[in-house]
Amino acid sequence: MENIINALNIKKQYGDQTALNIESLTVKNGEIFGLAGNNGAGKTTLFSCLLDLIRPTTGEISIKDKPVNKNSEWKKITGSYLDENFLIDFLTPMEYLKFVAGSHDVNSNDIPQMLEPFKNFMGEELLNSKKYIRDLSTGNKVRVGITGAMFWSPELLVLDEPFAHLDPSSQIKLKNLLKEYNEKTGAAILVSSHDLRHVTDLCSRIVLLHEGLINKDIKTSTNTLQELEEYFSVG
Amino acid sequence: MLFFTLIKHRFLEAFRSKILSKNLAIMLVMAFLFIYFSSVFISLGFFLGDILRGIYPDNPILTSFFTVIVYYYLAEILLRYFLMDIPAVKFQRYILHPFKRKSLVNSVLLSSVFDAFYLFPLMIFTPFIYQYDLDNKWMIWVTLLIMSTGNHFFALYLKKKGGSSPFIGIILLLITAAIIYLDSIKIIPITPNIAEYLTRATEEPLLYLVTLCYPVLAYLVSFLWMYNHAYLDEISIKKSNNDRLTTNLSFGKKYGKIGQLMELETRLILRNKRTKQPLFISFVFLLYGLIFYTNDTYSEQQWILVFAAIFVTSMFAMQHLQFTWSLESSYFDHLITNPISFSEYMEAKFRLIAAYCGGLTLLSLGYAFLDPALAYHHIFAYIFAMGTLVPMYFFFSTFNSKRIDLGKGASFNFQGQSGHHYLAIIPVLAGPCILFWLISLVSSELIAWISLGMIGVIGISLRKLFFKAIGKRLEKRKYIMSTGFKEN
Repeated sequence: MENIINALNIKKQYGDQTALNIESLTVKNGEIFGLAGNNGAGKTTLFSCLLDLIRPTTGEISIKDKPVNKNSEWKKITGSYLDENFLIDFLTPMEYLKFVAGSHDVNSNDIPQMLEPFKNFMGEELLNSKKYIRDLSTGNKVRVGITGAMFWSPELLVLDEPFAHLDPSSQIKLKNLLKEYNEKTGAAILVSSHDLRHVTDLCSRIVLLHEGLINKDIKTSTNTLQELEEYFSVG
Repeated sequence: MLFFTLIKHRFLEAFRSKILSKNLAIMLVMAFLFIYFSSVFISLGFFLGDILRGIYPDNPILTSFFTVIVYYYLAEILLRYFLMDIPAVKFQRYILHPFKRKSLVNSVLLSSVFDAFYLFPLMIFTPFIYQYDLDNKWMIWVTLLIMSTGNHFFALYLKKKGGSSPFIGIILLLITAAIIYLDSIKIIPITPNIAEYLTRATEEPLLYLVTLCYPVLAYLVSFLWMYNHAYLDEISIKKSNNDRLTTNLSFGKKYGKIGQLMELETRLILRNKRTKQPLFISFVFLLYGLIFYTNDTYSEQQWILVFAAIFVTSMFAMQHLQFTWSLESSYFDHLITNPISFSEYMEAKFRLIAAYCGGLTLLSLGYAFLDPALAYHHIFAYIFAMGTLVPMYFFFSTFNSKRIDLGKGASFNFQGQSGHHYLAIIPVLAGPCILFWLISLVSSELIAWISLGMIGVIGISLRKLFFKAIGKRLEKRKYIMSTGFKEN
């Protein structure tokens, strides 16, 4: 299997503080990759470097062997939702999804069909809501953001804390949605979460970050949840 | 006491606001603007007597003074209605604390009273009053305060009651227009009657007591409204979103990807307070020419007319575009992680702004009735602005790295401004005037106007090159911008 992400010697420093220091990290095609770690461990920093939102002090990240900061081809195959800064909040949910579709050259006639698998997760009411995104609750914003990141079938999906702010049934729906999506399209999915149970349920591989360093790189098995819980109860 | 606590909080809020405390340049500019406007108003106050004698030669000076006052306060209701902050938002901070609702509403309302709107009329009218030998000067002064207070609460009430619809504003405008009309045809002269009444009141101060009714009534209605609606969902103004104009846009179908960005830009402008206000103001600037072109001293020096023509036709482009990317700060990360190119984004903005300013230019051709030459002045100035000033503003906007909250009004709002915005004004506004002056020195003024138009045409045809170059610069700057937009 080929690697979709290659990161080499990624280091991000703020003054004397090292926020991220990763010698080497690869993500394979079709992998569901989980990122766990306490606050300040560098999860969001890693995702931001991957999406070329911040510039690493040293090193380079490539998506499909093309460095993200030199070539923007990756934008066409990468769907992402890190936080509310990815939403255009004066649009209605549908207007937003149509805008995303347009950016990715999706024919507007295909949109209803592409949204079909997301109807259960988004809910018909939210999908056709006339409210602007800025007037939605945090949970609904997250749903719009995640749907916007994946309904146009990206090959790589990056989600930061997707389970936070969602109600319990939406969390379970999202978990199933991501699994199905991965099986159907073979896309690689990167997820960070504080919810150890969700991460172990969902991901085939989990990386633990601690103070910017890769602490553990685990292939998920039946013991993983216990292993993680032990790790975090100490730390 | 609650009232004083709220007053204290108001002061702290003003002095600790992030924009003020962080940015010395803005402090200086604000101080400068304040001194500038104060001196304008105070000197206006000193010359008011002469001006009034010019306008109403037959009336006693005091009556004409009161006529002006009544007109001023009519206008002030409108100003307050459109510009004033409502204390409802602040109400939410205190609603959970154990205060009696009645005293909380009272305190919130009362502590909102003194604002900048009180200051300017006093600046104009106080020097006037003290120039004349009148009895009961202090009573006039008190009346002014009373009128301001009445307007304050009346506008507050209207704003809460009618915040969801623009009709109240229109009705207010119509009423004001109707009063001015009725005064001018002299059938039912409302204002002169009030003015005469107030003149008499200077001799019998008791008559002033009647004016007290206005603030008291206004306070009562706004108090009752707020007291009965002291719940989070009722007190804040919720606007219904279903405006047909911005929901049914079809640029996307017509112009593809750029059209889609034009749709986004239209919605950005029309659905957010911060961007909507300059749009309305641009209509007001259309009338700017009336002041300018009717003044003969300017027609001697045509280079000033360049400035005026650009101002009338293309002011909105500059006001809007100088904040490019800062206006997008809340979704900048979306733009840079999706396949959207900066140059296409700018092209979409350009097309939309050019169309809008083009419309304004067409409207401004009405000035041809004053002087036919103004028609071609405006057309050439518009083309020049679109071809050169727009790319320049796009360039300057690459320096933007401060976020803008789209939900806040644009007036007196310095959020998102930095030093470069002020520096940019100089070359952008002085540049065309100097250029015009130089060309007209070696040839004629007509040729200078045509040259401006030609330069504009060249700029417009080369714009995609400019946008590409600016886009490249943005690719390098985007990290700083993205980080900056997340800081408060």
